Amino acid sequence: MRSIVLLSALLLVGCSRDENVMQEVADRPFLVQLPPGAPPLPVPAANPLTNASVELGKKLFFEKRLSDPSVVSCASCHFGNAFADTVAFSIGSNGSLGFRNAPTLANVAYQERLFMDGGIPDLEYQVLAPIHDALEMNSDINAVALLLRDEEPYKSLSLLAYGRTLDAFVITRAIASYERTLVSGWSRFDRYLYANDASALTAQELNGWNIFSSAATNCTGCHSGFDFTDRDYHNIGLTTDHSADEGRARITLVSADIGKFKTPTLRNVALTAPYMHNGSLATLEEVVDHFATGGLAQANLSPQLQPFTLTAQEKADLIAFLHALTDDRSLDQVP
Amino acid sequence: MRKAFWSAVLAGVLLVGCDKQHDPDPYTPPALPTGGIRLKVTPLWEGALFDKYTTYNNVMDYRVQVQLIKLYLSDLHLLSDLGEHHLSDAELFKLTDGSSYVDLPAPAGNYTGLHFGIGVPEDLNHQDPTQYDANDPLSVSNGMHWTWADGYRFVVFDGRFDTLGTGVGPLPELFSIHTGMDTCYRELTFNALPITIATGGYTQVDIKFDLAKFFYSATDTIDLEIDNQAHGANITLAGRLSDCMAASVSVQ
Repeated sequence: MRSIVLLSALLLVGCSRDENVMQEVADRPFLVQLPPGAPPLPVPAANPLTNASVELGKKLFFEKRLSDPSVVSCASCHFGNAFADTVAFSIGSNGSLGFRNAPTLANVAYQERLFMDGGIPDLEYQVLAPIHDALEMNSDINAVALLLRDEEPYKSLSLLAYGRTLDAFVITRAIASYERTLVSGWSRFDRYLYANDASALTAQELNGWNIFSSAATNCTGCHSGFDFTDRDYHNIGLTTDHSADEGRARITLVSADIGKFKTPTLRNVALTAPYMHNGSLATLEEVVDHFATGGLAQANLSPQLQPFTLTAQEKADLIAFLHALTDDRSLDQVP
Repeated sequence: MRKAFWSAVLAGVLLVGCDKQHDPDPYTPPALPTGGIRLKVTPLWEGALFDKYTTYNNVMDYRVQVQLIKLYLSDLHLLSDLGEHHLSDAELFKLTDGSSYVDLPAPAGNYTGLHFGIGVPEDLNHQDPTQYDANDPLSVSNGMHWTWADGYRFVVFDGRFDTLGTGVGPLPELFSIHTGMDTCYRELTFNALPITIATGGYTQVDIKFDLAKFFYSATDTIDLEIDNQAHGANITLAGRLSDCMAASVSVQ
């Protein structure tokens, strides 16, 4: 179907060599540079990364007319090199505060399900949520498509990338494609671990890594692997009143899931304050203090949590290690 | 010149080959005489036509004003002794201002009943919503999609209330009960319901929801003072509303 549409378009505009070359370039796979140690990038066959799709996605990511009124874009809440916000709840287009703390988009391509409760099955689908959420963009993706579809570069890029006029399908696919390119793994920790650069970490950071990996703190009980997450859902005892947000149970409707949230990545964690699903912890020091308590006792409290004690120096070392997970280069690879 | 000759011959052969009059189909089945059905959905309050400007007293003797009611009916089938006729996957009815209807094609004939679900069935509920254009009942533009839950809101039921049944003036409290998630889907079958679809027009079938009964059933009563909000989090209340709604339906 796509080739038929493209063929028709080419016939209509005259099948010049320049246009063929343009299409060929647009169709070329966009090769995401993966850091050492990164697993292969999961890309759905139905939405391959191409030069045109990621370029279109990036433009849409920064497009404020996705919102109503046109005052916020995806980048308004996902900015900086962590592609996260710096407030507990982001401010939506009509001034409302969001439901949860805006997460980092670093390595979002590796997430098996989206949202902290895992309610959304893929990245393409996820794009719909903030656009339609009255607390975020308060808009209608079909109305947005009508607004932008005849405007350049959206008109041309949409045809080049997906062989069709800009619509809800194209907007969701393109933004998802751009977000998939935001791969994190360029930190000093990565250089130490995957590039055999022994000088990349300080003695304090190495000690912090040991504390992070120790059985006493059991941080790696949940924050494990290349992306420092088990992709599972845990109740970490942040509160005993979950009436404002039941977490995973909101989706599964199972009481055993009340208060459980998806383990976040720790990449660029020094840049993503405030922390937790509700942004209730302002600093990494407060986060470590919380986990040291073992969390507030409750039925669903994760068995991974256990109280521990750190000296002031050990706590500083642990936090220094977390700072070493900050990327040295931009996650944005799309020109 | 020779090339043009052979081109003309080829064109002639193609034209002859395409002329169906010279190659009649040995058997053409008679086309089914078709008609249509108009499904008209009407909100009532205790049997009378519902009016959004009227303040009613509900089963708890609370003053109640319903300000928004939208719902999906789906998997719509006509039933007959010979089988089922599929009418539509899903239709959205906005009932705040009164009745709403949809016209659907249906083969002429005699039917014995109607089957439908309140909500969106599981196989449709989790499909990619961007596949539907803005005019489709399942379009995200209808404001019924709960993207966070990978599915649709089935019913939106909002309004105001006052627990003091003899009160006057503005209603101080809000209720907003939205159902969704697969567990809130309710299927209804109305048998022994003779429906005759004639050719050349739409036969009207009336589906009526009695909004007063949204607050109670034979086995349950929803006390708005206690249970007045459901947006995915309070799925128990959403399920109770779904049961009350299902019990409130009549078809004529």
